[in-house]
Amino acid sequence: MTLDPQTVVTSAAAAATAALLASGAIWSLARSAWKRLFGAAFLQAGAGVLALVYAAPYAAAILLSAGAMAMVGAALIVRSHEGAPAPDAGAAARPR
Amino acid sequence: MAAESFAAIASLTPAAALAPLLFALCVGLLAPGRAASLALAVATALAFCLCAAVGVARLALGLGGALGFAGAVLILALGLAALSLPAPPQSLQQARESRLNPLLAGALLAGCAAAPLLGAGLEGVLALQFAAMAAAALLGVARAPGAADAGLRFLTQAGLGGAFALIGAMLLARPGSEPLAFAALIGGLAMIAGLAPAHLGAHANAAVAAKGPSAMAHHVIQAAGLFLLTFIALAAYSNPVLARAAAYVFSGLAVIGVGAGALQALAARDLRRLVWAGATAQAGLVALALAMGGPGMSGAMMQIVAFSLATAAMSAAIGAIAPGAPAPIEALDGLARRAPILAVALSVALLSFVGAPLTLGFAAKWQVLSAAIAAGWWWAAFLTLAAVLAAAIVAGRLLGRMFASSPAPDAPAPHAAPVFAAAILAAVLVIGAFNSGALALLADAAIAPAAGRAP
Repeated sequence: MTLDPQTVVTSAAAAATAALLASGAIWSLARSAWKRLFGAAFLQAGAGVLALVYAAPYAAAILLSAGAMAMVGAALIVRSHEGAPAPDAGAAARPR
Repeated sequence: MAAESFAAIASLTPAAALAPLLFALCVGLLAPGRAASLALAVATALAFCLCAAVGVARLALGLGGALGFAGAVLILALGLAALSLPAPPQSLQQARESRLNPLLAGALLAGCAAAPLLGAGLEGVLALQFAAMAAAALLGVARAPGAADAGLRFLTQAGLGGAFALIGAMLLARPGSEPLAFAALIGGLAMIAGLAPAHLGAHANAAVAAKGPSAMAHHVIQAAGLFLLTFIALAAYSNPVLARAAAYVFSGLAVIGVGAGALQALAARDLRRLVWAGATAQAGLVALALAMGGPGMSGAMMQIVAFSLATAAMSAAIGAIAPGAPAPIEALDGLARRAPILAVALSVALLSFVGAPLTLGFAAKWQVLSAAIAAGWWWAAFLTLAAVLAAAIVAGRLLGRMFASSPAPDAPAPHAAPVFAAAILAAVLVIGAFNSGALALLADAAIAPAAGRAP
């Protein structure tokens, strides 16, 4: 029995989509802000992989959007936990 | 040659240009500094120009249509009003960080104005989603109490709604999946637009926590989301199988929206919460007009324009009265004596919410009511009148405080810039009423070419 590479790739992508969508849906119902955020990002990533499977346009833009959302969310979580503003977070990193 | 150039520009996706902007934004949020601000400024300007070029090219090719153009113009007007709001009082470090605000507001406006031009397909949903990310960052970058948490909740809700809407837009292209596709699109966009019952949580937090220009972020997203929902309704009603289901879904959203919004507005003791609840009820009326299909479509469009302008005027007025502080309804006591222009502007906005004659709100609600009566939807006519009655009770309470109460001795003087913004928006609400016939014709003309097309 030989496996058709196209079938293998499509099945793997379909499985990845199902896993991303299912875990995203479950995490988006969690109480923790981290888990809810990553639930939403996983659902977005699932939509991106679905776009790849369907050969829909803008698959790369959808995957980028999932990444951007996770990064903006992570920045906001850091902000919400840091309390008082840092003296100047950018100054230390800049060369003098 | 020119047509080929237009086609090449129209095929670009603004979403792809906005993605690097969002990454640059993350850098700016994590390490605010001059270099990050400059990078953001360049990325924002480029993204805005690209979105405008794509929008104009699509309009020239007849891909966007007048409905999308109307949405884009409305959103830009709302955004310009938002920029007049003064930022809350802040320290030197916070002032340095707040240089991000106009850039984020630019990204928000670019995404929201591009969305109606691009339609409710993948491009429009992506543009709206990037705008929602900018709105979340705009909320989160403010140092007001609870702002970061409000931004995070807004981001999560917009992300979930965006994922559903994107999946729906993809399924639309697959024959046989239309019912599932429309359900995912309507549900996802309702979450982004904050239609009841999805208005709780993220949008409520954003409404109360946001101060300064970010106070209008979720209103702008709501207007853009409602325009995309109008595209979806137009597409759904061209399919007899989907038309019935779409009418049921929009009817459900209307009943919940008007009911929940009216009850929450009646119970609100904070002005920002009151405006948010009132906007929820008004958005419910938009859903009601969309549920009626053909005759309700121009009413829906007029209602979006009327209530968005009234909401913007009210937000500007609250920004003038209490720029960086909580705004209890007692802050309105004696406003007519302290700031007569602001009191008149806020009164006009409230009367437009109620649907009083001589305001654009009256023309919009009359359009919705007459469509309901013409279609024989008596429950819809009753729901419209119930929304008007609830708004009248709330407006009466606020007008009494403004014109019949004495001001507190230590009441601060309102800021000048938002007073002018509120006055101009109020004047538009009144002038618009005298052009309501022409506006209705324009709305019909805008909707006609979009009817029956894929969203």
